[in-house]
Amino acid sequence: MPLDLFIQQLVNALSLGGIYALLALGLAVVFSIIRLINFAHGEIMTVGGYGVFFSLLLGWPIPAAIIVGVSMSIIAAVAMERLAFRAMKGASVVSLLITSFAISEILKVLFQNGISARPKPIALPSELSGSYEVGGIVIGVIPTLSIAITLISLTVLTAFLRRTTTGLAMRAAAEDFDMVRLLGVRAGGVVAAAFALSGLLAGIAAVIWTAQRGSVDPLMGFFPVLKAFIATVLGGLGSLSGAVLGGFVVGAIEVFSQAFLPESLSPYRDAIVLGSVILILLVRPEGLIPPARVDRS
Amino acid sequence: MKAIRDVMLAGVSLAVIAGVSVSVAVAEDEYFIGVTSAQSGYLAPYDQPAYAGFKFCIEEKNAQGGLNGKIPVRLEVKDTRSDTAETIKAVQELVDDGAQFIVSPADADPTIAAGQITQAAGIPTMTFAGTAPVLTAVGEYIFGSYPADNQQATVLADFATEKGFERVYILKSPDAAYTLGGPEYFAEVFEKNGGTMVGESLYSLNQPDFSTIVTKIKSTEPAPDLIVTWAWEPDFPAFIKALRGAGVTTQVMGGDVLDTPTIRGLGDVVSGVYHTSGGFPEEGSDYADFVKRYEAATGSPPDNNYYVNGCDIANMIEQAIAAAGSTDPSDVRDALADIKDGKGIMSNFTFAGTDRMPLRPVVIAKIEEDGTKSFVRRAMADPDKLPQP
Amino acid sequence: MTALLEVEGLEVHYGPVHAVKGVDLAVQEGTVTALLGANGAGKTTTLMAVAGLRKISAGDIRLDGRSLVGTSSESIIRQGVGVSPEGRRVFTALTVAENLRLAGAIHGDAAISSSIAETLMERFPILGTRRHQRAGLLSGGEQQMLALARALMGKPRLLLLDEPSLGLAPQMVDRVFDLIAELREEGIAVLLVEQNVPLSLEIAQEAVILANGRMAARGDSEKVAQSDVIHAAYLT
Repeated sequence: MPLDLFIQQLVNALSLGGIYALLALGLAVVFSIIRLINFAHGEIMTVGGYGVFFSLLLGWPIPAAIIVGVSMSIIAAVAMERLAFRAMKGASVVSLLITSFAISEILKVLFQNGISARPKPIALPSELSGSYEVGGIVIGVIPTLSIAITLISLTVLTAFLRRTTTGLAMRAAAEDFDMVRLLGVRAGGVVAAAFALSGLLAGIAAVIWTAQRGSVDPLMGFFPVLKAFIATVLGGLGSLSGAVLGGFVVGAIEVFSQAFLPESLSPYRDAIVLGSVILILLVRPEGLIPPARVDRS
Repeated sequence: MKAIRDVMLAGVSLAVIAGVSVSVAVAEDEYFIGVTSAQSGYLAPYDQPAYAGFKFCIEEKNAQGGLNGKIPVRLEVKDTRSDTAETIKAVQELVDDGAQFIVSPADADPTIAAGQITQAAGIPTMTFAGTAPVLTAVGEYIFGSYPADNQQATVLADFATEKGFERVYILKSPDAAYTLGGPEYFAEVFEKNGGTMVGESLYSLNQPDFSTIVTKIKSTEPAPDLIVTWAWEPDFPAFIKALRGAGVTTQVMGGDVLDTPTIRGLGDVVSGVYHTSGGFPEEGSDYADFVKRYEAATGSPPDNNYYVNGCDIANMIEQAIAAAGSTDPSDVRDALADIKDGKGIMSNFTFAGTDRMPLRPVVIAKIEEDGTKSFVRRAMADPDKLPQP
Repeated sequence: MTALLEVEGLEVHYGPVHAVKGVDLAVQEGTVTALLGANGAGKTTTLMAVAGLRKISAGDIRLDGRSLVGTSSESIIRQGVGVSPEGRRVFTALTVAENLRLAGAIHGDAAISSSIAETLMERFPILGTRRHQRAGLLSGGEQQMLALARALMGKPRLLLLDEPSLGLAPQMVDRVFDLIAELREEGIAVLLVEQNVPLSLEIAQEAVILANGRMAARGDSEKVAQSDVIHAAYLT
């Protein structure tokens, strides 16, 4: 394979993996704190996509549309915590998981019947759909922006988790939530912050995703979040750095298996991704970067 | 917990409203049509408008005394949620309830599943918009309604050849008969016309990322001058965005699924794309009149062909009953299969001499820069070139 | 005079298990009350009930004469209570400094928090030298120091200490008890759950012995030390 082709596919892998990483990180932040695998995370992303769509429909400029989209995702995530999950404090992992499935299904039906079952188009100006050339290699503007936004988001988030009290509390809560409360830190605030953060990440993912794909539909969030969920398991369920790494690994396996395997194997791409994940987990059952966690009964 | 329960209840009642079956007491002289239509899931974008158009025209006919002015129609509709198992259950219930005609979902796969039941029960069955010609292979009771993929592909391939295109790159997905069949039929006719296929890629439905495939297309030697795909939403938008985003300006042509406001709303990236279509509401045509009537009655414009095709299904049933002179399912089946140049609104239809996939003219349309579509041509597929399913 | 902390007729159920059955105790300002008993006697459960992490089924817990029943853990801590729980429970993925900083957040002022942290790191020099290391890399004794320092970050009036000497080398055990004595002298009240009975009774003014969730003895620590109950409680 020629180098330029490899670099182009690498850009593709980073761009896709970055979206998975953002989504996986959102799942992991919430899971690490309240043991909830939030399957409705995809719908939080979809809400963000619709936020962008409706803003553009109203003729608002793109930066406003992006802010609205991301804000809607944050609101959706926080509202979900307030309306559904807060009432289930102390419920088992399975009850929480099933509740999140129910919320996901309800939201999908609401989108289908309340907005439209059909995808809605998101047209971006042509400058954003273009490409540029570096040393003979043509690279798309959107994938480049995706990678840049992902990296900036991850950097800002790392700083947030290291520098701010809320960030510290979230990292500590991932390890031992009750101990955080024994330091006088308000539990409700930490959980709400975790959901808001997961909403923010899903909103950013939604903006990149809709910019890349050009449409938003009721099922939009489901498939990427499924991959993101695989990424969190691969990285080590509950581990934040593991989720990011897992996202990039899943994205890379997906892109490179399509790029370099014979075309006849393409339909088995998802099987290849899952198979590779199982292989990695056989060697590292706790995931790539297992979380530090004290489990207390 | 209460909050959750309330939300769930709201969801359930919503589902009930959406999928409710309108049952009335059975009357002797009624014609009972059972409809399965997905109100949610991947088929909802096609089933919902098809059912809306069908229901609109059945109600118009009922207001005039029924089919052919004398046989009122009773509709019972069941939601399939785009799930094949659910479709089978719904069809079985409708057949058990005594349905005399079944309208099945807008895709080949659930229609084939439905056909397993209705073929055995001897109930004529027509798909809302399934276009894969294999779907009628289940048996002689199963009918298509929309111009089949091989007809669309033949007309499109002849058009491409005439326009001087020589090297095509095919993008297809084995996940659905439609997304796989269309491009393959196209390639077959295109090669018969002297063109060559320089490459092909397979994708999965709802594939997250098309940039990998685009990178492959860019590196293909010799470079294609045409890309053909039967990809639908949201895959087509994702593909065309990735393609144009990577600086590839090669001509793209696609199937009738591209005939939607969503695709036309994508902006610059779709400008210049050609696609097939079942019809075109030209000024003064029956189709244009249908658009006006429908919009006046419901307040929303029928913005794709599935509405008018749904209406034409009502016309096909009506004409079959008129020709049969009875509502007996096997008589209706025979009469339907014999229709020659039946009068439709989207276009006329001929079942006689076909495998029950109607011969109907295919339209080629072009997406313009301003997001409108323009009429390019209307043609019947050349029967000599028509690829066999 | 009212004690700083009063526990009266405390009952705690743990699912089907009746873990604490009618316990009374009090901690006066500037004194140590030792809560002793065999494993499973209900000591930790009592302590966690005071900290608001265990729901109580009957009885009352009062701080400054005001009932804490139904108050969230966070609010109890914010009323001037510091906890060093069983097993230390330091945040292993956070650095020493981050552990302290999180505990100092209660003051809502980074400057106050960091000045308290500096003072504590002078008091526990090992924490100062390892401030940028992850707490998970500390030894058991060092982790205990961190847990104590963390409990002190909120400037508490009442400290709840659960087994602070467990698993430590003898030298470290002495260091811990010296520290408790120092804190007492500084006016901090301590409720001390311990396995080390002799040292605890030595340092405490008051002692409560639990056996199977019930109070086996309560009173002046010197008197309790001389009673047979103490032996009975540990043998049953």
